[in-house]
Amino acid sequence: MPDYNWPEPDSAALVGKRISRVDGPAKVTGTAKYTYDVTRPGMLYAKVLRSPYAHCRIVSIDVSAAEKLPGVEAVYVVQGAGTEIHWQGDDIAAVAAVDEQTAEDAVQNIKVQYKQLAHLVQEEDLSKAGDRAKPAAEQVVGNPDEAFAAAEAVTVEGYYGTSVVTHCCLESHGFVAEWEGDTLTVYPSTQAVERLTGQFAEALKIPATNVHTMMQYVGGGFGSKFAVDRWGIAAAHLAKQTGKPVKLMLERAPEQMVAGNRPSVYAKVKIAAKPDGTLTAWESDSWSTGGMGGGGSPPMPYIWNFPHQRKRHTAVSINAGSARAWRAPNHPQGCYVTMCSIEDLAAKLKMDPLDLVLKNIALTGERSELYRQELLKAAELMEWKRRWHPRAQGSPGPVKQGLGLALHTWAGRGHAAECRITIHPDGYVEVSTCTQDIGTGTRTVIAIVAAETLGVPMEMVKLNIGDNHLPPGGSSGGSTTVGGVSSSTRRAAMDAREQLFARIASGLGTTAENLETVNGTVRVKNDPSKGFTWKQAAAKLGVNPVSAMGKNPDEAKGALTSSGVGGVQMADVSVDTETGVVRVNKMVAVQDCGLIVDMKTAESQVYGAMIMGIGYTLFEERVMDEITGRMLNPNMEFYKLAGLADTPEMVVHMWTDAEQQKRGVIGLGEPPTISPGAAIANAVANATGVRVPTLPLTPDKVLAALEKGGLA
Amino acid sequence: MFPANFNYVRPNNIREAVQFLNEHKDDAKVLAGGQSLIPMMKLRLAAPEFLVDIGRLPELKEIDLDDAVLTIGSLIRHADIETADLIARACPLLAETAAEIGDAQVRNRGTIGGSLAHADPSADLPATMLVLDARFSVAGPDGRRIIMAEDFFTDVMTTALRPNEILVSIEIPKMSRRTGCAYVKMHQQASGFAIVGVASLITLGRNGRAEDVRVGINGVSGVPYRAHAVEESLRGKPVDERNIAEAAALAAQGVEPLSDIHASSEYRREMATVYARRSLQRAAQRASAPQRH
Ligand SMILES: Cc1cc2nc3c(=O)[nH]c(=O)nc-3n(C[C@H](O)[C@H](O)[C@H](O)COP(=O)(O)OP(=O)(O)OC[C@H]3O[C@@H](n4cnc5c(N)ncnc54)[C@H](O)[C@@H]3O)c2cc1C
Repeated sequence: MPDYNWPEPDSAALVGKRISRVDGPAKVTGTAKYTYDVTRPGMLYAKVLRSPYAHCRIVSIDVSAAEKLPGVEAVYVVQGAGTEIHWQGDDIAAVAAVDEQTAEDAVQNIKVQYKQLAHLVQEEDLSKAGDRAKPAAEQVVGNPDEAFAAAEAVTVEGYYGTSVVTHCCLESHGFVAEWEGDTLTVYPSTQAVERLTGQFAEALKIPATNVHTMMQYVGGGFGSKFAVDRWGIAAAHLAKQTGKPVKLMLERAPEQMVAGNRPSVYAKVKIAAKPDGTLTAWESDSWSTGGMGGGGSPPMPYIWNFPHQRKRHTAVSINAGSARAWRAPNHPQGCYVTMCSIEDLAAKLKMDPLDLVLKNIALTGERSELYRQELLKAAELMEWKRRWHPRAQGSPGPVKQGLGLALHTWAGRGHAAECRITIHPDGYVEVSTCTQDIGTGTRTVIAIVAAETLGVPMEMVKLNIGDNHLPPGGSSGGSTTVGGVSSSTRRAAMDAREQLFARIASGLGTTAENLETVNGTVRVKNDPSKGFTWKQAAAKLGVNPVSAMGKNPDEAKGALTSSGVGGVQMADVSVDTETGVVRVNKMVAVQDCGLIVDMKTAESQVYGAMIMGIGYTLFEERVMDEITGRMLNPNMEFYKLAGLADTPEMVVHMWTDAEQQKRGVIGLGEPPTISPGAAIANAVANATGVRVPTLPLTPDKVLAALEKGGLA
Repeated sequence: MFPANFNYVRPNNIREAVQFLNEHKDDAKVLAGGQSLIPMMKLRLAAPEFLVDIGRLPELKEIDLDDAVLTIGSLIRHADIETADLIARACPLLAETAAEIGDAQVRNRGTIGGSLAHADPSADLPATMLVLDARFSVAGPDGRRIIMAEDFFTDVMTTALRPNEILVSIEIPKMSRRTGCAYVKMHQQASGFAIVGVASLITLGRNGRAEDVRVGINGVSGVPYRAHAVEESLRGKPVDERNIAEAAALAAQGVEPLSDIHASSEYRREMATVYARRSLQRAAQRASAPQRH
């Protein structure tokens, strides 16, 4: 068996280079078929009646008028009389009809009597949460009381928070479901083609062998698309009832209300340092919501291991759609709270925050040396030392400029995955694994690894993904995909190569271990003149292709992935102090993630993450109405995402030293979305001299903070 | 996001259109660019039984300039106003305002008549109409009548138009020389609609002082308004920074600003002042500069 490893950087033909994504042309020309584009013969369209109330009980439901409407083929009651509904937009009944308009008309003809119950939809004011607040046990490290009481301690207290934001997948959640006898075929819009199989089987009480799930392209998931969801089951039932394929895609409003969101966090924080800036103590009282479930518990203090800590966290359950994983779950919130309080402390100490974090870098633990280098690199790219000024001491005039920074980390070890590689006698290579490309470049990465290993052009690699009949390739979450599929592909490709060598070696008068694949040839290692072109070599296989399975993890045979990445981001902003409007002028990201398979798609993840970060920092917020319990902006008209005009100059520096090469492939999709909130907010504080406590930093909040204290 | 069923009719001329509206009154709605009406129908906030498509009536698509008046047909699209040479020369304020509306797709379809008839409090054109002393020519069953801009906007999304009337054209009197105008706007970040939009016009007298000052404000109140206190404060004075700031401070005087998820009442009040100042400053610069605006 071969010794599994990654190619050395100087010998690699493809790995680590800048390669355009293989499905780019299909996407930009519109030939890529998303689930939204799937149409099946005789397909019906489904719409869902959703609860208008945040908290209610269904007293009665009458679907007869809807059923009688011409064009309506089935009505499926998701939650019937007597059910308690806990958030606006929850599924009550679904209708399948010949077209979308008829389905919508039918939904409006379902008569439901609700008994409204008391609701809570906001959590920032914890005093109103009553028994909805569930405090967790206090956590203490060291002796915080003593540390805060120390005569020399310089302390700063602050209040920080981030609102609930929604995933805003451009392709909404949904499914096409179709039965053939007792076998269900599902076309989902998902991050987990394979995992859905079991979920459908369990919910419908059918064998998993009777579920076939298939998806080629998904228009965004960001952590929100791992489940069959109530509406997926409803689609399957409607398809069964009617004997026809049924398509159920969410409208934008429910997409925003019920298809996932990122929990909020609010925190009162006190931290202490010695007069020279050495961090000593942390104390936080925090709370958050993620809907009825109560929300996550962000890591705090984030990254900085203060010697003395006291932490209390309270989960608040509210009547709003449930949280789902959102790109780096919990980290952006923890990072925001922590890095803002550290920046406020630096201001109080009249220190440059860059100096303060460098001084304390050992508190970040084993990554600290790399963080130090990354901070210095980012500072160089931002010209931090030349351009930084103490708070509010920038240029005169109403528009103020400032700089801010933040640090982050993530795990990202490759998940379990299997892969089958077949080398056909015509030289074409087939790679099969049930993964999915959620926009991160998974297809491209697999093709690069297979082509690199076999020494063939990427065009000769044919990929089969997105089908649960393929070898299991794992779900795309936690930034674990790239490490998982690149490792399984590498192993399968190395084994397949070995088998090919074994079958053709005698024809070259040598043995398998003396062969290598280089640039479209198979040749003898010490005698490059002796060899075949790749096509000739494959042709020697006769009629029998070679095929090999690769697996991750496969620890006995060496690890091709590991865990733990980090990065530093810096932001340069301008704040119009007359209007409160914030503009990000420039962002710098320095990021490590082990061995980089494709430099271009890696950088692309960081660019996208920063733009998404600008969105949640400046604009995005789920606005709930206290009185009616409803979401006030469940649309794209009043829920603002960052667009081109909001995108600053972005500088991305991927960390690629020998140390990173050795660590194997580690995930990257999530970590760069962690820091933007804190980096931008800190830049605003630096520009204006005041802390705007909660995200998003909307103009009215910025003005209010300025009026409260800061510049005249 | 699908509208309820409706019937579609396409009249051949204004008279037919008005006749149809007169027969069906509130059950019928005129369809122009559809940029406001269709979204309302998709959200099922509007469910007219009949859509009366006036989109192909040539009488509504004319732009005309004579010595005294610029006449713009109600079907002229925002994008045309933004780019038409005639308008750029005769009334740059109108072009500047149209350029601020929504995005390119919306401007390519939305019409001046549709925007005015819709009377969204955060629309851009109304304040400009007030400042230009525009006259709206309206066709009804009893023939034509003129409604002055200041009498047109009566309440939130409500105008002096009757259900059986069609807005035919907008007449804008010619401006005197030494006049400068400006439209400055704070966008709602997602939709692009105005949180505050201030149109202003300054005509300088021979002494360099403001002879005529007109300020119209969108977005702050449920109805666009002329900020008379600002106008009076600046009239007769040199248009320097201090006088402008002093006048602009009165931008929301006597107004109870709207409060909604886009901005609080206090924020709108403050922005009215900031944007009135910025708008007046720009208008003053243009009035003094040789190139007319
Ligand atoms: C995404 C988006 C962003 C937008 N942003 C802005 C913005 O920033 N600023 C802004 O000002 N507007 C904005 N708009 C609105 C846009 O300007 C519309 O074009 C305008 O409000 C309506 O014009 P319309 O021709 O599309 O009218 P329609 O939608 O066809 O009609 C609107 C209403 O006016 C009536 N009507 C139309 N024409 C006549 C007529 N000749 N006589 C009598 N009644 C008539 C209709 O019956 C209907 O009630 C935006 C719209 C969208 C979709």
